[in-house]
Amino acid sequence: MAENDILKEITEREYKYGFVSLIEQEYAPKGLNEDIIRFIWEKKKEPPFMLEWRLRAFRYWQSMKEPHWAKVEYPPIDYQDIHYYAAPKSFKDKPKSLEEVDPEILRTFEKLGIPLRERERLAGVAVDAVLDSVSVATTFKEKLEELGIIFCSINEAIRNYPDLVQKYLGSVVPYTDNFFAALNSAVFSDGSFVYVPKGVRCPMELSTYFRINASETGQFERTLIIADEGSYVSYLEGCTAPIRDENQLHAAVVELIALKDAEIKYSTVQNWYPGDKEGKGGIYNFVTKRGICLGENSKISWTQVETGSAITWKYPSCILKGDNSVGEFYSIALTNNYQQADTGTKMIHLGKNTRSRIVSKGIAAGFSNNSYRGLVQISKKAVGARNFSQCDSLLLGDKCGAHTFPYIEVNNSSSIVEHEATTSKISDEILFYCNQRGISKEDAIGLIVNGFSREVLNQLPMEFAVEAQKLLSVSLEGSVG
Amino acid sequence: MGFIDNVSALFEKKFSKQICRDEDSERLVFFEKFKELGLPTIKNEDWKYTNLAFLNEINFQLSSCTKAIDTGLVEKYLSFLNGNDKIVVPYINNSIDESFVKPLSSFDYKILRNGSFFANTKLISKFSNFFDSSNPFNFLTLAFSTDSAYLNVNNGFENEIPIILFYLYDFEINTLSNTLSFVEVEEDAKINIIAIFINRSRDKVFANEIINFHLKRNSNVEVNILQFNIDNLVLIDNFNFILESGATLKINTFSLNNYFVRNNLNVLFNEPYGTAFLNGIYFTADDEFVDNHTLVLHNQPNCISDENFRGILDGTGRAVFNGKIYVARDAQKTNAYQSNKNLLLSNDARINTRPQLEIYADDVRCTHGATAGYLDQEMLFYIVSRGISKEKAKSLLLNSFVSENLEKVEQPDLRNFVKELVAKKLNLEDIFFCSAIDELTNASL
Repeated sequence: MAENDILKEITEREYKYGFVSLIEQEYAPKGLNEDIIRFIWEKKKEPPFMLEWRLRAFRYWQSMKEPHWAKVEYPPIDYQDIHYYAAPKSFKDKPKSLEEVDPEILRTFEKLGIPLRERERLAGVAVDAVLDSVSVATTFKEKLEELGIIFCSINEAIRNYPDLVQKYLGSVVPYTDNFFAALNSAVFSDGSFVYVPKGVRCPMELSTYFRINASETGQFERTLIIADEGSYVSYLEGCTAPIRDENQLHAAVVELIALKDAEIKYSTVQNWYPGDKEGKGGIYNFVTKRGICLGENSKISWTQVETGSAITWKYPSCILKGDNSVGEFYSIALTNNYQQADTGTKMIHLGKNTRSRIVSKGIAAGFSNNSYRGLVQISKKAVGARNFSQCDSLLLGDKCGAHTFPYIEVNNSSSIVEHEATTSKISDEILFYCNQRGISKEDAIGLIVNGFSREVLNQLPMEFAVEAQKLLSVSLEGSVG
Repeated sequence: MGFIDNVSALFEKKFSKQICRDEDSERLVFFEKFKELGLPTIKNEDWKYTNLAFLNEINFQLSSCTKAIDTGLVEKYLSFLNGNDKIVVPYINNSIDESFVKPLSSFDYKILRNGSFFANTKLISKFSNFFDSSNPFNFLTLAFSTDSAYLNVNNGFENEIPIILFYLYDFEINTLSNTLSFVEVEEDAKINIIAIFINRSRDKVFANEIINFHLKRNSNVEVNILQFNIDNLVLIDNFNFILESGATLKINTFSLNNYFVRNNLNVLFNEPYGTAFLNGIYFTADDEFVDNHTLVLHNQPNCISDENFRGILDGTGRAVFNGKIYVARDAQKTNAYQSNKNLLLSNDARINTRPQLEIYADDVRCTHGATAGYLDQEMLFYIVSRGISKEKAKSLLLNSFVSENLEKVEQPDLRNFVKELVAKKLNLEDIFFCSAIDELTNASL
């Protein structure tokens, strides 16, 4: 199918993943207190150190106030009106193999195009699928185990590799970090865990697929990725949720740790339900993502395509501690209708000769507001550090807003920091040029948006790039003209 | 004692007896507003990098006696004008000394003593017409204001003679100083303003000055803000500009050798087709601090704004740049540019820069850029490889870094003066402008 046909086809489509699967669910009672945390801890059969950790986080969370500095507006969230745990009933005793999994769940992921059965089609990707609060299945486990790579749900990791978890969990994002990180630390129920041993190059893309299904629940997953010396891993994350009138909270925490000479590439295609045309419903996506380049010559690269969620509030960050380490951030944030996005990154340069690169593309349409907020901090000891940031915004329509809030802090003279940003609309000249050559206005806008985002799309692994490209055009629906 | 308690006590002492006067009840309203907002902390986004906590450590008084300043001193500070004609509005120790003022026929000039403008509601609205209502120091100035100047430049007035707002502080105790000025530039008038801040006090002076401008249609105003050798002065100046259709504004700020300076430059396009240029050079060394805080509000379509701030940081100097461009929903065809470049010459220097764009209209062209770093090594190498010494190469690059903004000053005496000051700061013999080089090359061709 030609690119133009794809665009056209999808501009007329509604949110595709909005269906609800009828799966018998087991909930924790609504509300949040120490009993609920004990309930989750018991459900998850975790070792005692986790209960202590969760309770400490919860007590700290109680002393905190919800932050409101981001350029987003939403009615107050009642944290006592949310189920903090929801799991398919059939998971009471975790099924041993895919054959035992409720066929309805398998159908759900099938519908979403996530291959849980290791079939030939996307055989190059190992998937961990998370439905509401639990991990459903992890594929290619054995094959990865041969190389010593651990890829499992964080819950399994807590039980099977408590030493690793205890050492690294909360080391990059401590529960004291912010309001939502504290909440997550207290109630997180599942997520993914990756450990790549020394010198191993992970042969396939690792992927987690998050799905919120139950209503009135919040999803709180936690991802921990550790790349040991000289290793490499590329990790993908995708998310969807059904169409509902209510707003659902998603407060995840992702921690990446890259040791000496290691490289982690983390890609996200976020497509939570964005709410309807009037801005009703949708997911509040309040996520803390941070990676640390602990060792020398390590590298962390974040790529994100943010098209979903009613509100996106996330800043995937890099702490560049090791000398010569590299941090990268590539982002496309697209908002339409009444969506709001306040997203960006933080690059904290601590080590010598550390380098970072930020490329952020914001596209705002409809009545949406799209903000880039980024911090580049060069500490005194980060001699010879280098940063380049570029933030471009594209406005489609005159009812939307695009904002840029960079923070640049430089504390030594041997570093170079550059920031540039532009905001504009698709110029009439370019549109005219395309029209002149027989390309319709709608197609031309699709082309231009694609070209505008190419720099970031190029960073995505192949499997995701196609999906992301389609997503961009879906979300632009109705904003043309 | 904290700063708020300090000023509350001062306010109580000075105005409690007068408050029964109608006009002074206004003061109380403004003071209550100031107290409501309080002293900004670094949690306040507008003051994130500008810590004012040190104000709590100083006990400020209101000026009681005014030292006599003779004309010769003012002339000395203005000697760079080479005795050429000038109009001086001298704010000396918090009060306006009339004896210096040489009135001009096409000028309406009023001095309003001791907050007497509070009796006139029309004037209150003019003096308090600032649009950054989150800045508590605006309210503080209004509450404590002593003398204020009201200038009205008549229709079509056009004169090369610079109007000098001369701020001189010479106190013997830690003092709080607050004055207000309002300059109304009628249609088609063209003026050149130089605002100079000079401190001779050995003790700390906390000066809060409001200077409001209203640029009527097709008027043309150049404002040069000159801050040099102001040790011990904590200066928070608030320049507010309202532009009508076709008005052109040009601001040049030069902050050289300061203790603590915060320049609030606010520009509001109230009608379409306005143009504003904001240029600045700041130089900080040895514990000096300069904060340039600009806000450009594009509330109307078809306006142009262009900001260009250059900073050189040496020693333990610190600088902050916070620029915000706001484009309202209907302000289509806006062109707004912003650039902030910083050179760090020492490892102990610090720069925090925050260029911001907030845009609600689609048919606009807005860009901003910010850089921080040392002199470009590749350029240095290029010059050195052509047989020029490293020192000379450095000075060439420094020259080009500052000359662009220096060149924009239209008043020739002032341009030469600032050029000399900057050259001295950078240990350069002289600063060459691109235009001079162009002329040379044209001549040789």
